[in-house]
Amino acid sequence: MASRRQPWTTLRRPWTTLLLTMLAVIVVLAGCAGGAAPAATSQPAANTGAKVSGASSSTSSGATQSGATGASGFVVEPGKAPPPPSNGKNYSDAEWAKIAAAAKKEGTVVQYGNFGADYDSKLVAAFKQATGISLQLVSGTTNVLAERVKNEYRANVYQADTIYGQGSIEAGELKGYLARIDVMPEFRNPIDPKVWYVNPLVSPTIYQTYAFPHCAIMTINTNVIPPDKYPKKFQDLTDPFFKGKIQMDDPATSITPDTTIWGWYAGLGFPDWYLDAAYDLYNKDAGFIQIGTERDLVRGLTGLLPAMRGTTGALPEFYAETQGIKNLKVIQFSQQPVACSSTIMMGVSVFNKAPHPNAALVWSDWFISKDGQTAWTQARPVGSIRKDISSPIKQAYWPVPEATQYWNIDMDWMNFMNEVFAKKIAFNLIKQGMSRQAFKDAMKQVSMDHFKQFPPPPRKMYSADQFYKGMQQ
Amino acid sequence: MRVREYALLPAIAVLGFLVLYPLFMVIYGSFVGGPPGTHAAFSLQGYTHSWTDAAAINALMTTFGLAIPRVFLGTCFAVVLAWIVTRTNVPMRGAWEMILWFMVFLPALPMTLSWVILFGGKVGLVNQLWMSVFHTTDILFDIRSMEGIIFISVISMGSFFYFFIGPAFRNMDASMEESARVCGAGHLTTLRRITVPLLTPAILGAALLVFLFLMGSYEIELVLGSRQGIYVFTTYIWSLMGSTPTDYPDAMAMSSIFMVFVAIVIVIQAKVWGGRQFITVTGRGFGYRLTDLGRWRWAAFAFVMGYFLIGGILPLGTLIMGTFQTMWGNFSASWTLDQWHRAFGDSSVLQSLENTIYLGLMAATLKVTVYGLLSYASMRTKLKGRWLIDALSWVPRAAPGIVMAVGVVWGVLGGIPGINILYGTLYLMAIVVLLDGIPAGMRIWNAGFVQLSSELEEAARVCGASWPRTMWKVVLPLVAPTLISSWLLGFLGAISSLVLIMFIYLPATRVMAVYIFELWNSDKLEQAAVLGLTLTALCLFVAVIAQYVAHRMRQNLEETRA
Repeated sequence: MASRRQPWTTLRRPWTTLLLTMLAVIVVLAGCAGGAAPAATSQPAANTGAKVSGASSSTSSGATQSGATGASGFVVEPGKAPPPPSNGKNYSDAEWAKIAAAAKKEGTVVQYGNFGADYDSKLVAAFKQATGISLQLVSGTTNVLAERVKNEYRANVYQADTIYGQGSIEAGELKGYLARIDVMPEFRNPIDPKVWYVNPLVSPTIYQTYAFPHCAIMTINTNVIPPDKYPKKFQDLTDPFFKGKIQMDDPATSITPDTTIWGWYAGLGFPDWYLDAAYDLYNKDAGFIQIGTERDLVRGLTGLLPAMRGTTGALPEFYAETQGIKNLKVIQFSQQPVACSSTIMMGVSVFNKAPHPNAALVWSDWFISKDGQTAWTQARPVGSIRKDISSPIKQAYWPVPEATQYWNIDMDWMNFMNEVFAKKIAFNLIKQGMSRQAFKDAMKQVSMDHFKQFPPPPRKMYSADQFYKGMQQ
Repeated sequence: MRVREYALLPAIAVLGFLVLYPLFMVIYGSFVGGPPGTHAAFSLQGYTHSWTDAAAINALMTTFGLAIPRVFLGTCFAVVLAWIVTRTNVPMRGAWEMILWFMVFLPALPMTLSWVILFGGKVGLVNQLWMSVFHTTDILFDIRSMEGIIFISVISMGSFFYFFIGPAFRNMDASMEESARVCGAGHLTTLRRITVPLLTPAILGAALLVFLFLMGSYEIELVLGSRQGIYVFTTYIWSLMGSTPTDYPDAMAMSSIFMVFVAIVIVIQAKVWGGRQFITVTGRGFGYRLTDLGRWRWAAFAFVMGYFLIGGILPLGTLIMGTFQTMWGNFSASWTLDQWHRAFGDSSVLQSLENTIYLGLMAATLKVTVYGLLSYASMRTKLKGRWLIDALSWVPRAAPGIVMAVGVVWGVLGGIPGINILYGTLYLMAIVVLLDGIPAGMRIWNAGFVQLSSELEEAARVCGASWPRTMWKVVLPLVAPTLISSWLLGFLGAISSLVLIMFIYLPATRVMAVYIFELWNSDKLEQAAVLGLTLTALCLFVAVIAQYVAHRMRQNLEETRA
C-alpha cells in the first residue's frame, strides 16, 4: 500500500496554491460586487420580472419610468412604482378599475412586516374574498426587514410590494425605497368626522397610509391587582407591591418599550417629575419590570401593562369576546388629560419597485377601507382609525382626535423617534443598567431640548387637496 | 488511484469556496459595517466598542458559563445512556433504541415552549400545582433561568449525544470488555477503563461538537434567557442586529472575536486527537455480546424510563394539549379543535409543509453524499492536503449561525453577479443547511471511519475487488449505521434549521420551522403548537422509516458475519 501513497507526497504545493487561489477569488469577486451594486433611488427603473422557484427577481435595464403609463396603458409593469393618478390628484373611477383589474391579474401582494404569522387571519381571507388577491406575509421586525429590502435592492432583487411598520423606519431607513402614496378611493374624504377618528393621510413627505394608532394605556389583570391597589398616579407604579408585576416587551426586539417611555412622557405633558419616576420604575435594578408578552398579563404572570401600543386598549374586550377571559381592565391615571393620550402611527407603505405594483395599491386602499378595518380589528386586539366599522370590540379606549394634538406626525417627528431608537435608551435602562444621570441626559438630549425649543404644533388635518398640494412641494 | 484522488480536488475547492465566502463577508462587515456596495467607510469602531462593551463581555462570560456545565453534564449523562442502551441487557433494549432516536427528533423550539408552559414562573402548570399542593407562594423551579437553560440542554443533549456516539458504542468489539471482565473488572470499572477510553474519539468528538454547537445555538437561550436579561453571545448579537438602526459593525466584530475562541477549541481538538489509534472494527471480526447487569438492569431501566418520561412525554404531552386549547396552559379557557381546522385549512401551512419535506429530503441526501465523500477523503486516503478538509469543515462554526446567515445573504445578494437567482429558493436553503451541517456531519462520518481498520478494504482489494465494489460490499455495510445516522441528522438539521433560513425565505418557500418561530414571535403559541406537533410527527415518520432500513441493514450485516 505504501507505493500507492507516494504520488501524494508531491501535493503540498498544489494544496497551498489551491487555498491561496480560493481566497484570492473571493476577495476579487467581493471587490467587484462592491463596485457593481447600485444605490437605490426613489425614481424607479424599468424592470422585467422573472420567476425563479418561488422567487420573483427583476433586473434593472437602466431605463427610467416616464409618466404613468406602462405596457398595458394605465397600469405598470412589475418592478415599477405604482401609477400615480393621471390628473395628479386622485384616481378616477375608471383608472381605479384598471388598477383593480391589473391587480387581480397579478394575483399576489407580498407584504413585509410584523403582522404576525397570520395563516389563519381573517384579514387575509377577507382580502382574498374581496379582491381575489392573495396576501402573502414575510414576518419580522421592521428594521430587520428594512435591512433585508435594502440588501435585495442592492442586488436588483425585488420581492416586497409593501411593508407594514411604524413609520419612523420607513421615513428613515427606507427613505428612497418607497413609492409616493397618492389619493386612493378610500382617502377621498379624509376629514369626514363620521368616518375617521384621525386623518388617514399622514403627510405628503411620509410614504405611508396611516392605519393603526398607538396610545399610552394602562391595562391591569384584576386577578393579580386588587382594586385598592389600582394605581391612581403614574408614580404609584413604584409601590413595592408592583415589583415584578409590571410587564414590558423585550426592548432588545421591540420598539414598544422605547415608545412607551416616550409616549407616557408626551402623554403626561412632559412634566419634569416624570424623568425621576420613569427611572425609578424602569431601571434594571429596581425590579419592577418583567419582560414578557401580553399573554403573560392575560395569564396573570404580570399584573400591569403600561404600554404604548394599539393593542393595549382593546385587550379587555378582545379577550372577553374571543376567549371568555374577563379579568382585564383599562384604567386611567389622574394625570392623563385624555384616555388615549399620545400616538404613533403604524401603516402600510408601497415599495417603488414592487413586483406587484397594482396589487400593492389595491391592498393599501383596501386595508384602510371599512371591510379591511373590520377584518383587521376582528383578527387582532387592535383599534382602528375608522369609526364606521363593525367590530366585537367596544371603542371606549380607542383614539380620540384630541389625542393627536401633541405630536406633529411628520418628518421632524420621525427623525426624532429615530434618534430615540438609536440611543437604545429602553434597552440600556431596562436590561443593561444605566445611571439616573445618564438616563436623564439621554432623555433631555433627544427630547427635552427638542420639544422645549420647538413645541409641537397641532397636527395637520389634510384634506385630499391639501395632501396633493403637499406632495407638489 | 492517483487520478481518482486528484478528482477530489475540485470538489474540495468548491467546498472551500462555499464555506470561506460567507465568512469573508463577515470579516469584511466587521471592518466596514455593511455589505459590499454600501460604500461604508473602513472603521475599527466595531472592534474597539466590542472589547470595551460591558454587556458584550458579560454575554461572552455567560456563553462559557453555560456551555461548560452543559457539555460536561450532557456528556456524562449521554455516555451512561448510550452504554445502557447499546451494551447492556436492560429490559426493552430494542424499544429504547427506537425511543432515543425518537427523542432526537423532538424539535427544540416547540419543546422549549412546552417547558415554559410547565415551569414558566408562577403561571407554569407544574409550579401552580406545587404551590397548590404545598400551600406555598414559592414556585418549584423557574425554567426561564440559567439553571433552566442548563436543564433543558442536558435533557436534549442526552439523545443528541446518543445519536453521535450510539453507533460507535454499538460497533465496538465486545471481546475487549470480556477480556477485562475475565481479569476481574466489574461493570463500572470496565465502562470506565475499557469502554470509555476505546470510544474516546467518538465521545470527545461529540463533546467538542456539542460545545461548538452550544456556543452558536440560540433558540433555547432566546426563549428562556433573553427576556430575563440572560444574554449569550448569539442572543446579544441578535439584539444588536435587531436594534434600530442595525448595529452591523458591533455584531460582525463580535463574531470575529468568536472566531478566535472557536479556533482555539479546534486546535485543542487536534492536539487531543493527534496520533492516537481508535480502531475498534477490524478484519478479525467482533462480537456483539451484551453485558449482563443482573438485578441492576431494573435500575438501568428506571434511569432510561425516567429520562423518557421527563424529557419526552412531559413536554410532548404539553405540546399536544396546547393544540386543543384556546389559550395554551390556561384551563379556564375553552377546549377546541379550531387550531387544527384553521392550520390545515390554510394553503400557506400546507405549502410550508410541502417545502419542509422537499427541503429535508433534498438536503439530507445532499449532505450524506457530500459529507461521506469528504470524510472518506479525509480519513481513508493519504492525500497530503487532507488536513485542509478537516480544517475547512470547522469553518461554518467559526461564526454564530445568525452572523453566517447575514454573510450568506450578503454573499448571494451583494457578491458574485448572477447568483442572486438562487435567493429565496429551496436550492439556496439546501446549500446553506449543507454548509451549516458540515461540522456535525463530518464528525459523524469521521467517527464511523476512524474505527474502521483499513485492512478490511485492503483484504478486498487483495482479493481483486475494484474500488467501487470494495466500497459497496465492504465499506458501506460496515458504516451503514453511520450512513443512516448522518442522513437522519441531515434531515432533522434541514427541517429544523431556523436562523440560516429566516433571512432568505420568501412566502412561497417558507418552511415550518420559520412558521413556528414567527408564530411564537407573534405570541400565537397554540398555532405554534399545532405546527410544532406536525413537524414532530414528520420527523418521527421519517425516523421510523430510517430505523427500519437501518435494522434491515444490520440484520444483513450480522447474517454475513454469521
